[in-house]
Amino acid sequence: MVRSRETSAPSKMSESTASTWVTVSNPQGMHLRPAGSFAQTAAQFSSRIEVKKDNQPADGKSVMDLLTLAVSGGEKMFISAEGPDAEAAIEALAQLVENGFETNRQSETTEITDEGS
Amino acid sequence: MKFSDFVKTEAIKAELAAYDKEEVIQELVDSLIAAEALDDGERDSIIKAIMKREELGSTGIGRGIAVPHTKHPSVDKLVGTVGVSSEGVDFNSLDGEKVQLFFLLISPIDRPGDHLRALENISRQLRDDTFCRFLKQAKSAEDIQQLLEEADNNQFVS
Repeated sequence: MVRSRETSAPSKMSESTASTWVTVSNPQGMHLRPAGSFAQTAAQFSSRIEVKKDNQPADGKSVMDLLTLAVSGGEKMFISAEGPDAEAAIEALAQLVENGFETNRQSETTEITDEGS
Repeated sequence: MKFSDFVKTEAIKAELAAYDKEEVIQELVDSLIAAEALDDGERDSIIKAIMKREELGSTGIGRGIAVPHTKHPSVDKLVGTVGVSSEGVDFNSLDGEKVQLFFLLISPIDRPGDHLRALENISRQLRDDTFCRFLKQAKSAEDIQQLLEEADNNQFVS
């Protein structure tokens, strides 16, 4: 997997940027499943998406990159998007994080009520 | 966090015999039991919990790497091991590729921070292509142990 610095050169007319701060609300932090949900949601947009914690950057579409940020519950991160659908991407990602990374209702509760854990 | 903080050296497997998901997990759990890092009496419960976690979504994170894991009440600190499969195992990874590198993690119930820092360490180190390739090519547990030590000493990434 090569992380490219190039954007796919859409017309300058449609380029835009958007960004926001979000607080990771779920107590477990951005562990593997949340990072996976984030990267999957980010991948639905053509904009380039970057996530930063303490100025450390990560590619928002890469699970491995996101995991290197080790964002704990209650910590803030900065999401920025650049591309034709930047605003829609930021809106969707901010909502995802605020909802505790739940793309469907079942996942986090299943783990907590899991008899083995 | 460093690899030496959670990887049980005696349980490292350089040549996994298993060729499917459940067998790999069993093999790594058994290796941790043999190294006395896990309680034999908890074997089935731990394997079941890890498999249940896999059902929520594969821990195969791409680039031929998987991090099967669970929380379990029988451990009082984070413990893990590393396994390498030269042929690769179908693990329903995010990118569809077979998995060659396994990092199995068992966490206490109440330490989400340690789990997060172990994931951080694994993903930060394995972003380095050289380290990733060397691990996949490792032929012995000693080779793997040495690579992990070099990574801990920041010889691959800063």
